[in-house]
Amino acid sequence: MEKRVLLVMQDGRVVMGILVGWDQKSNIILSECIERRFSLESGAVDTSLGVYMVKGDQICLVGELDTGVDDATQWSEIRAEPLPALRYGET
Amino acid sequence: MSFFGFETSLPQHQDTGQNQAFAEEDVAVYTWGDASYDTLGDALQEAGDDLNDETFGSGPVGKDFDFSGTFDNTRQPKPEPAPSQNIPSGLSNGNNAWTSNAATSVLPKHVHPSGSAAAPSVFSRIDPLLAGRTEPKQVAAAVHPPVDAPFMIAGDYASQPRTMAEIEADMKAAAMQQQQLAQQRERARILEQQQMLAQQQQQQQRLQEEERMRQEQQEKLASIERERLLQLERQARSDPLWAIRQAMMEQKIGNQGHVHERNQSIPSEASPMSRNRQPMIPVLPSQMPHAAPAQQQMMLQELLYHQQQQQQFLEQQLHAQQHSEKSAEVMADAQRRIQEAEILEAKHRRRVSKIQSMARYNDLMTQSDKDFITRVQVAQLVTSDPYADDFYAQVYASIKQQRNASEINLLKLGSAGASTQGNPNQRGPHRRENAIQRMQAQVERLVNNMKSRELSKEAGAPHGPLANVLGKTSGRSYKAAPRQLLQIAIASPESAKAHPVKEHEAEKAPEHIPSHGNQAPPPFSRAEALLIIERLFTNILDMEQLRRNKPLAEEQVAIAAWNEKQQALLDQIWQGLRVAGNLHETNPHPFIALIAPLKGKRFIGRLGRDLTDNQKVMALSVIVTLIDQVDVIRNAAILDSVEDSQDRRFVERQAYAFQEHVINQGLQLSPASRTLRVYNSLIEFMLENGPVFSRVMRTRPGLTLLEHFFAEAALLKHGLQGPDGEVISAPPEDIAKWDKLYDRLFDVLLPLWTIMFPSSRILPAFPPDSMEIIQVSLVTDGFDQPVWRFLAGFALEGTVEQHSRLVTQLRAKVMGTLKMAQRLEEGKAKARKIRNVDLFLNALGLSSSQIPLQ
Amino acid sequence: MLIFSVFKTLTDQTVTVELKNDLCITGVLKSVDQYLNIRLDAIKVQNADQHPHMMAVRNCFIRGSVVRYVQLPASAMDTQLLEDATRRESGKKI
Repeated sequence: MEKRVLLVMQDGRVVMGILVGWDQKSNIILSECIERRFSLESGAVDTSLGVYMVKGDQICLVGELDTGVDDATQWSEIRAEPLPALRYGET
Repeated sequence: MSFFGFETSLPQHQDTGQNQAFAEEDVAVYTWGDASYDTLGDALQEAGDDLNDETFGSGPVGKDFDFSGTFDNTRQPKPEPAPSQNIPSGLSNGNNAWTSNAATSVLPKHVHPSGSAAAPSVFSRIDPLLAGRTEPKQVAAAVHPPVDAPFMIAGDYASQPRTMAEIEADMKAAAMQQQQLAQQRERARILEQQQMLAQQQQQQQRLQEEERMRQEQQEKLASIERERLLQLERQARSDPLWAIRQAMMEQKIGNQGHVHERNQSIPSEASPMSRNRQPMIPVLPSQMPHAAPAQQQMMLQELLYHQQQQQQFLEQQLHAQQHSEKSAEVMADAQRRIQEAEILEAKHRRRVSKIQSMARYNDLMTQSDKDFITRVQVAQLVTSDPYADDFYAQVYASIKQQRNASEINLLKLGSAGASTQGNPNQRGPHRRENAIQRMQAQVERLVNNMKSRELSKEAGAPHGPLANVLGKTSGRSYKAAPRQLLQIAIASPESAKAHPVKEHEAEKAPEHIPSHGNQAPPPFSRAEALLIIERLFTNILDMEQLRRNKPLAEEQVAIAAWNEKQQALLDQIWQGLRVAGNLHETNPHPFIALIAPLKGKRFIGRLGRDLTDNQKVMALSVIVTLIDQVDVIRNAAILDSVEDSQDRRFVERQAYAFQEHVINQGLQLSPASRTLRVYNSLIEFMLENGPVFSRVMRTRPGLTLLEHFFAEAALLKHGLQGPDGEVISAPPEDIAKWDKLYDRLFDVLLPLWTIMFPSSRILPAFPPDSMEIIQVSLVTDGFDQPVWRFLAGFALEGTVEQHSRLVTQLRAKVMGTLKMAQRLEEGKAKARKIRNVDLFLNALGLSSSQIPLQ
Repeated sequence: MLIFSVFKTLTDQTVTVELKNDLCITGVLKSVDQYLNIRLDAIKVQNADQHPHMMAVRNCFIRGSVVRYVQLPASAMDTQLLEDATRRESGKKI
């Protein structure tokens, strides 16, 4: 509660925000959300989103954000492929 | 008090205190303007509300009963709304109800729509009877208007039968007493008041009020009595009927028993009084006509009845006076009550403050509630058999624990040969204990986790503005655990059991071979074998479960039943293994087929401790006799390859499992049964079929098996160290047999030795003197090593003559190996080659260094 | 619930969880619930230079439904016991 978390969604989006609510079905409410878009062409871009309610089955992973590391990282310098969406079965 | 958020005080006495209202309020108020009003309102006890606060709490009323929703969160009581707005019109204002002519009203006012004017008279007629005893003022009021209160007048007449003098004297005495008492009480009251003022104003007020009430009542009573006396005198003189009535009453007492019966409860004074009165009016009975009008009789009955009532009323008053005489007692009593009230007040305050402090948790469960639920949930997890649902974790933990413990104990006890799971007999109860301890710890942890989670939730809840806005899903319950989604139809027990039946028939089949011709039943397919093994595993699990539930040693009956069950299971397993029976029933033999899969080999290893030595010997006999059927022997050729392949690895694993699980674990005989004779015969069995034997000896697993038997036999031949240090040697006839067997074995093996080396089978495929062969030989050296070792051990048992024959036979092999070593640079590989050769040479008392190489 | 029982014994072991988005996360297993949601501590994403997305994440909750594989440490497993446990489990259903 009240911690900054990083959410990886099933479609590969990365959203960070303050965890303000959740339930047993891992539905989650985040406030002060920021989506971080990665790309190889330019560095990661943060977009403010406000309050987000994410349905549990769209969530892939929730990680506690180490704000120290997060703040110290120059995300605009970091280039990476966006995370892939979930893939079921063999390639 | 305001219950349910309604304003209950009526407009008429909204601004008056309860006690004041009692004295001053208009009587008609209680009728609420309704003719049909049942007057129950008058029966309401308006007094005695002092403890209401204690009962209901004096704080602001919570929102629990705030159905109208008028209570706001600030807990500030709203200004009382105007009654006409808030209260149903029929209740608050009779006139309103009438004028509104509400057809929908449920109140019974429409039942007698005779007009509100009738109400007061009805009330005043009935009220004295209902309330007369408790409200003397109304009695007095009723007395005055004789027309409206006929019963009271009648009642006054009824008190006549006493002599005037008596009554007068009584009344005067009573009045005097009251006056005195009133004065006394007044003094006492002032005194009390002074004391109380210092302490408790509220209690004081109440007591004061009570005292005043009582005094007022008594004063009123006195005045009533005086008034009535006067009235009675007046009436006695003026009423002409008085004498007649008196006479009739006398007559009734004498002649009409039923009336007397009905009035039995007349105070006893009444009869002497009437008897006394009789001489005063002796003429009257004769003058009265016997057939008195019925109306008169009725009246007389009523008179008697009301007389009785009056009498009782007076007695009560007198009693009250006597009671109040004990003013000292009253004072003490008052003091005590004050103290009690003080204690109650303090308690009440404490409670109110506690209630208020807890009010913020009003919609939450208390911690103890949560704990209770947690306990219930956890208790459901803890079953008598923790293995039922949590088998893996339970057993894994206990095995790990044992492993840790045995790592320490292993050195001390040297428990060689113990299976990984230890001795079941020691393990059973031990494990159960562990399980219980672990379960307890687990439950504790669960409860703690729950607690901490609830705590963090609680701590988080007020801050998280969006907590629970997602709605609550059905609480976290263990029912939510995932359920089996796929309902795969597993072979029913019937079909599973059908197999043994079939097997049984198959077992009998060889006896009927003549009738069936040469058609042998087909051997187990791999799938069949696996299925049987699975069933046997189930049996073993059943048995292990049985062992965990071993009854206590004291319960002999239970122990016997338990033993029987275990034996039955063991028998079932043994039968399932199909060791017994015709050796040539199928090819491969059922037992050999069963141990072909890795699982089957492991099963034998697992079963080791449960098979008897007899059974083990039988199984070993089957294996050695039909050794060419054993999968590892049949597939051993794959091992003679230096190339890594899946097949090779598979056979390698099988070979290891065969040696480890079947021979070393499963069929390892107990020390008592390890006799030279057994190994003699096992080796003999192997030798019986010459061609097969020579073939088997070219396989690594076959050689390993022979080496195993040979080592055991050699050990036994030289005798064992007994517990007392003396050497227990095998029986001479067995030794003699062994010597013969060794010679035979030597002869059979002698030509085979060279080919027994894997390198001899592998290396010829490569061009000699090439670098490749050297490289390959480095690999085969590893394979050769067991052969050199066996050769060394075998040579040790031989005679000098046999030694020279061996050297002759193996000279080429030794020389070849040493030459190969020569080509290698100094290092591990070279050392190993030489070490291998030296294993054998040392056994003969030679050394590779003595061999000259050109 | 065999799989639950197994994961219980693996608490505090290092496991690698392969997700259905091909992310491989190695971390210390802290807990597994009835949905097989996994909590990992001290996580490390394999191929971190390709997947810098979670650089600032130290521990995480992985939804059970997105797990493709969990690589278990062989030393912490008892396969024979696992076999027995599955036998028991299947035996119960009959």
